[in-house]
Amino acid sequence: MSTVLPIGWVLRASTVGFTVGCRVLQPTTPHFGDLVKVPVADDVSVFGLIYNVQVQDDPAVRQLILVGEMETEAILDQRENRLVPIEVSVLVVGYQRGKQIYQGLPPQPPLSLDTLILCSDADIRAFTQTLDYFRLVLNSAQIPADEVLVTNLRRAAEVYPPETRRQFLIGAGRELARLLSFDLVRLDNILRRIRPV
Amino acid sequence: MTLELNQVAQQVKAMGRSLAEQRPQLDDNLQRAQTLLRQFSNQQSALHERIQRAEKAQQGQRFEWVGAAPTQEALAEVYSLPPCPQQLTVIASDGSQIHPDPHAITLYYLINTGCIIYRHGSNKKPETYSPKPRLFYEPEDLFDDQGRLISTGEVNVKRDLAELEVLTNLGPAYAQTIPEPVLALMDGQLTLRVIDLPFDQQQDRQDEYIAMLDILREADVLLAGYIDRPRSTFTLSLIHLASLAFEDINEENLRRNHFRPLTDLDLFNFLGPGERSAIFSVRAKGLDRYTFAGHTIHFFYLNVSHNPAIPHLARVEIPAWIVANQTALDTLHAGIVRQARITGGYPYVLARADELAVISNEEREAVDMMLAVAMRQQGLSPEISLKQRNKNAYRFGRESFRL
Repeated sequence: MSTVLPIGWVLRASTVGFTVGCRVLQPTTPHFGDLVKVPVADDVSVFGLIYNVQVQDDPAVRQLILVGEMETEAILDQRENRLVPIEVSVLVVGYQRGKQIYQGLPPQPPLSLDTLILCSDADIRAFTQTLDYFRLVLNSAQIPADEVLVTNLRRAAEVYPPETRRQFLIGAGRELARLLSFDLVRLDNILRRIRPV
Repeated sequence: MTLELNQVAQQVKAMGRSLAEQRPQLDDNLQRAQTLLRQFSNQQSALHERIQRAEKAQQGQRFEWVGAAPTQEALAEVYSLPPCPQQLTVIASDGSQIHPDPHAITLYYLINTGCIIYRHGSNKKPETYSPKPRLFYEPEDLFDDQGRLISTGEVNVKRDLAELEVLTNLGPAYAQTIPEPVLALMDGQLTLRVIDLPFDQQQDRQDEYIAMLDILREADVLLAGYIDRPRSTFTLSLIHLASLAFEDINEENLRRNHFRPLTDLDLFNFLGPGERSAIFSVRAKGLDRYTFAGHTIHFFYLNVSHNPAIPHLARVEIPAWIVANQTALDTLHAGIVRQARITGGYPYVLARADELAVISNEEREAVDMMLAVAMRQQGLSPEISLKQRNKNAYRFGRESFRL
């Protein structure tokens, strides 16, 4: 059901979010707004949305940039051999126990070195059957919540068949209208960007 | 913090004043040394006669004359940066070690090496190679016939041999399979430092080392040792000889070198970006075996900087067979500068080889931890010394490997 290869390992975690270290070389590069999951125990997985991807600072890279004598071979060496880790920050939006998916915070966070995997199309369709996670995203301070949601919805819409894609986006728009009825400017900004073509 | 910085501050000020006061004298000496370098630039024969007299004067004394001998190149000449081949492979290796520690839970030492193969112009990522780390723990590894623990110097010799062994394994293999020249770089001097070994081992280790140099020579691998910020005074020793009248070259005058504490780096401060000095050979008795094997150690100074305002000089050591091959010499000269300019002053491959080889404190602690576990599993009781335990307690507030 999910991408088999892990794209990273948990560095630090709390109930509301966690940070994952991964390497540039990984076959499936994580994207901003992607729905990901971390299997934490038998039959339990934590779902989250990627809200930040950060390339870690490295004195050797900084020195190369300052010097400016860049060679293709040195760039490849830095990117593929040195494997400077990138950090992926994830907002927790739900969890799965058995076949049941819950949208909300899980009873326990992932542990260090748990593996992060990208959700498959089936996972995304299953998770977005309900849209209660919108409130968690919109209420999260210090993350680009609107951007995360817009990107996530566009990507989620792509995994629906063309005949139900429009219906999915209209349902999402209605849920957003309900949650953001007090902030029409913000609502308008999101709706315009997820409008079905 | 136990260092009372307020008490150091006054001494630091005095130090600053002293350095400033020394400057005019140093500048005068430097000017005199550079004048002599130009004056004797083409007097190689006269200088060789003086070297022979100096070596004779020192015979029977405790210290031998160590210095530079001129080659056919004019001493004060400057050699500009030759064009670098578009395709060039540079291989570098480096080593790291954990020395045996009598205060650790048990006696052992470990040697780790790292190597990188960087192919300029290939548009491919460099290959890295890390041979299996070697853990030494058997009594015959740790103790000599008299039961003395192996010294840090002996461990360092093993590490140096392991570094060259990697180059010897990989250099010829690449040279045989790729069309471009292969340059092998080592961090530090080209010779094996055996002075810390028991006398009976010195020759054996040197022979082992020289046999590997033979392999690299046979394979046409361009070999060089790169010494960053050297404190060497080989050429100044030669200039000191030039400053003495021939008949005044005696043991007493040789000891009074007025050019100290200048170094060769000061002497060659006129080298522009990419330029190298003339090539000299190293005269030292301990290097005779290299000479007999056709690897007489030569060197030149090289300004690897590309900024005329900020020179960055290194000493590059090469064996005689590179000196005899102008094309090889030019390739080596250009290749080192090309490598150093990637990082702004130090060959990229050497920095990366160090990164691949280095054993961090955390890794060292992890090895100790693994050993402690292994010993406990065998019913042994690993204990660090009381001295080390107290140091840990007071320095770090913890005992890092108590189980």
